[in-house]
Amino acid sequence: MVEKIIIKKGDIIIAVIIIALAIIISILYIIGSNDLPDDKKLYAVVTISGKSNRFALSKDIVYKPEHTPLNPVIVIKDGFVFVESSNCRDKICIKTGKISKPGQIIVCVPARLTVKIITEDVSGYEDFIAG
Amino acid sequence: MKISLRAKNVSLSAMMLTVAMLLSYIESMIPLTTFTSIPGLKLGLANLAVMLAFYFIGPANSAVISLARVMLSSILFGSISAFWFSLAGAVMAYSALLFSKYILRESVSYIGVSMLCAACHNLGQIAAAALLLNDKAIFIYLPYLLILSLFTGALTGMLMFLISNIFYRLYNEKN
Repeated sequence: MVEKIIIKKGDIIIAVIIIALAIIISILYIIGSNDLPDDKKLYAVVTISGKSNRFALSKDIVYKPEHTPLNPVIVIKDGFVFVESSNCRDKICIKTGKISKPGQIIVCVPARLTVKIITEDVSGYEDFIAG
Repeated sequence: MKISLRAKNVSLSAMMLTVAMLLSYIESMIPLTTFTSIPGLKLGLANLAVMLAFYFIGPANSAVISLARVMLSSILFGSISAFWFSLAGAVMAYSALLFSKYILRESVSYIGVSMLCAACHNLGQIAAAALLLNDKAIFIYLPYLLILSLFTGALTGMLMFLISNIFYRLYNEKN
C-alpha cells in the first residue's frame, strides 16, 4: 500500500462544500446585521456565564465584573468597547481589539465572556440564527 | 466494530495513544494565536495518530485511543472545560472518519478525510463553546474556522500520506 499523494474527486467535493458552507454562513450574518439606520442607539451586551449586562456605547465606562473567572476588564470609550485586561492564557479577547458595530463580537472562552454590539430593538443577527 | 485484542494491536494502540498525547502537547506549544485572534485554532496533529490507528489497526481501537487521549490530555495539561471542548471536537472528527470510511469509501483520499475531520472538529468545538458561553454569538467565527480547516486538513492529509507508507512497512515487518 505504498501510496502517492493523489487527490480524488471526493476531496474536491468536500473542499467545495466546506467553502460553500463558510460563504453561506457569512452571508447570513451580513444580511442579519445590515438593515439598520445609522442613527440607532448602540449597546454593548457583556455576557458572563450566561448572565448579561447592557451598556450604552455612548457612555464611557470601565466594567470590572466581580465573582467571575479570570477577571476580565471591559472598557467602553469613545464609542468603542474592548477588553483591557484578562487573566486568560491566550489573551485572544485583548487581541481582538475594539469593536463598535452591531454584529461584531469579542469572546474569551476561559472567562466565559462574550461582548457584542446590538441596536436598541434587539432584532439583530441573533434572531436570524435562532430561526 | 470489534476491538482487536491481539497483542500486537494492543501494544500498538498504546503507542498510538502516547503519540497522540505528545502531538497534542507539541502543537499546543506552537503559538498560532500570535497570527490570528480566532479562538480554538489548532493544527490537529493528534488526529494523525487517531487516523493511523483507524486505518491500520481498526476503527474500534481508534475510537478508544481518541477518547483516552482526550481524557488524559485534559487531565494532565488542561482544565475541565478544555475536556468538554476536546471531547466535542474528537467525537465530531471521529464521526467524520466513520463517514469517510463507510459512506465515502474510495472516493476520498487522506486529504479529503483530513479536511472533513478538521471541519467537523472545529464545528464541534464552536458548538461546545456556544453551549458553555450560553451565547450563540461565537458562531460568527465558524466561517473563518471552516476555511482554515481546509488548510490544516490538507497539511494533515499530506502528512498522513507520508507517514502511512512508513507505518505500513513497519507494521508488516516480519522479524
